[in-house]
Formats: sequence, C-alpha cells, structure tokens
Amino acid sequence: MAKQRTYKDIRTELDTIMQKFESSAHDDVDEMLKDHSTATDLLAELDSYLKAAEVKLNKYKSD
Amino acid sequence: MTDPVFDVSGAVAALNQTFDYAYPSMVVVGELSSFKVAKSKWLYFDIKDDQSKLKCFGTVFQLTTALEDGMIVEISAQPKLHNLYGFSLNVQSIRPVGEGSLKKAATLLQQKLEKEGLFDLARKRKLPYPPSHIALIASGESAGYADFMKIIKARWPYITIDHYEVYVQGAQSEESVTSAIRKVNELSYQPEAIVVIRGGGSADDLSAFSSEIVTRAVAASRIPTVVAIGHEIDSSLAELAADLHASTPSNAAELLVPDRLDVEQSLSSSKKFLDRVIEDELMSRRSELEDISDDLQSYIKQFIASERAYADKLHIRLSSYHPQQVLKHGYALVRSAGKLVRGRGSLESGDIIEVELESSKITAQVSNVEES
Repeated sequence: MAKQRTYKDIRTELDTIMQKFESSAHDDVDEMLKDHSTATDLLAELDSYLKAAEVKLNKYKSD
Repeated sequence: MTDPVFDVSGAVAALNQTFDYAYPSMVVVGELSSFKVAKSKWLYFDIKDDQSKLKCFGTVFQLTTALEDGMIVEISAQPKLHNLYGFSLNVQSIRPVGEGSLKKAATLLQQKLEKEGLFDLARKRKLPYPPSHIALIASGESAGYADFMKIIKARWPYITIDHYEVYVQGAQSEESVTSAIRKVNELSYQPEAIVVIRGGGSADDLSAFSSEIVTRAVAASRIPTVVAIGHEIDSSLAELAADLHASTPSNAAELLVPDRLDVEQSLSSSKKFLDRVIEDELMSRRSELEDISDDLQSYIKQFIASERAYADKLHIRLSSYHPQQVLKHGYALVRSAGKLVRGRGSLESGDIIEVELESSKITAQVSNVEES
C-alpha cells in the first residue's frame, strides 16, 4: 500500500513544478501542459488538506 | 517469794527476753527529734510526746522518704536493752503520718529529687498522640479506673489497654506500683505509654505516689509515662516525674486521646478545604490549558490562512503559465506530424502543418520557407 503523501510532500512537488515555470525550463508544450495539469491537481490536493485541517480545528474548538 | 538476783548482763538478757515475749514488735507514734544519719548507714533519733522520749536506732534502708525533726512518724520497732547504751527501739519501718508530716516529707523529698533533676522539663518526652497501646496501672475497683475507662471508650475506643492491677494505698502500694512499672518496662512487646492513675483520697491514702521508690520508678521508665493522682488540688511527686501530668484520671484520658467526634469534624473540614483547593487548582489549570489551546488554534488558523493565500497565489500564477493564455494574445502553436515546430525546423515547402489558435485548429500546407 502506497504511503499517503504529506502536506509537505505535495507542497515541495508543487514548488518544484512552479520553479520550472518561473525559470522557463520547459522546451515542450506537452510537458508544460502535463506539468500544468499536475500542478492543478496538487493545488486541489493542497486545498483539500487545508479544508480538512480547518474542519479538524473547528471540531477541537467545539469539544 | 524472793526477788530474782542477776548480774548486770543477766539482768539485760532477762529484760530482753521479757520484751521479746511481751512485745516482739510494737508500733509507736510520736514526734521525731534529734534525727541524724551516721556514716550514710545508721539512723539515730528520738520519738517523743509531751511527757516522754524514747531512743530509736535503725538503718537508712528502712527510710522510704525524707524525714526531719518535728514530723509525726509511725515506727514499727522491737524494744531492746543494749548492754552498753541502754534502752532503744530497733526500728523495722518508719513513715510519716498526719497531713502536715506527709506534706513536709514530700517537700523534703521533692527538694532532693529536684536537685537530681528528676523533674526537669528537659527530661519530658512527647507521648504518641493518640497511642494505640497503653499499660494502665491502677486498681480495677477504683472510681478513678472506671472514670478513665469510660472516657477512653467514649472518646477513642481504638486503643488497646493492658490493665495491671495494683494496690493504690496502704503498706503494699509502693512496692505494688513500682513492680508494675518495672514489669511493663521489661516486656518484649512494650506499650507506647504507661498510665498510672488513682482517684481522690486523704494525703495518707495518696502518700505512695509521693514516695521515693514510686517517683524514681516513674522517672526511670523507658516508656513514656502519664500520672494522674487524686483530685485537681492534689499533687504528687510521681506526677512531677512523669512525662505528662494529668489533674485527675478523667483528665488523663482526655489528654491521652482525642475525641473521635472532634477528629471526624476536623477531618471533614480538612476534606472540604482540600476539595476546594484541588477544585481551584483544577480550574486554574483548565483555564491555562484553554489559553494554550486558544493560542495553538490561533497559530494553526494563521498557518492555514497563510498557506491558503499562498495556494491562491500559485493558482493565479499557474493560470498565467497555461499555453492557452498565450493563444489569447493572438499567438499560434504550429505542429508538424504531431510535433511542435520551433524555428524553421525541418519544414519544407509542401509540408502539411497544423496551426492551433485560441479557439480553432487549422490544417495548412507550407508554400514557402524563409529564414528570418
């Protein structure tokens, strides 16, 4: 069973892809599209993490 | 009938024989005078009344208390005629009688024992409170004993009492009380305290507890002692020598053990106090924890907000990097055989190319290739 990625793992991977965009390191539009798609997924995953954290936090507060 | 004829020694012997026959022992009460102790061993004194005086001889071993001229004493003695020194009473025992003499004897003995330090406060030991096991030296038939037991049972019935029956007045009382104190001290399983009690009585009745032998036994006890003799106004030397002096047997019981009702009330108050202290402490800790929790939540909330802001920023930046954004500005992507064409590439006139615009794709044929 694959180990679930941590928030830090996702954040690091996303930063690496963004770095590629920032430094115009892509020489292939397909690779760029693929990275773009991956980055979008990672952002969505990051958002889910943050939402889950907010729910947990609110639960602690109400307890 | 003719008078018998003796030489002097024969006359002395005949008279002594007559004394032995008629008065082998006699008790004489009178005032003590010319009292002296020779070589720390021999007693010489006179016993007298208004009209007569008799010489007396004895040893210091017969003394049970301090004596002084003027005291009224009771002696038990054998009348004897000495062949050189004349008539005397050979003393077998001597004791003061009458309240004045008893008090005087007690005062003299008190001064003597005080000098020896028997009553020093520094010698007083603390008694366990409450003790779990005591030795009670008393007469079981006395009112003092009944009072003591009644109060102990009412106040603190959790105590083991070993009763030692003794004479508390009369000739045997001194030896009886002393033996009991010594016996308890020799036990292998010793009680935590020795309690000596006796109810009220005349000065003569209570005299054993001011005797030297009993006072010394109390002072020498290795086990802490409580002594209560007579009523509140009475005072004995044994009480002065004791570690704890009670005014009456009832008072001894009150001093020895607490009242269980008071203890229960005190414990209940202590419990309430402790409950309150613990409750206050818990409330204070809970408040601290809540503060820490609030700080922690605030920190996490801030972190989440910051990460969300970062993610939003990334999202905007990422959108700007999508190739589609470039097409919106009028640029086109050119592919040949499915591959992106950069520069001239390998394009030749006549090649088929695909041109991707913002909202459409065009298939075209190259008519001319020029280097720019």
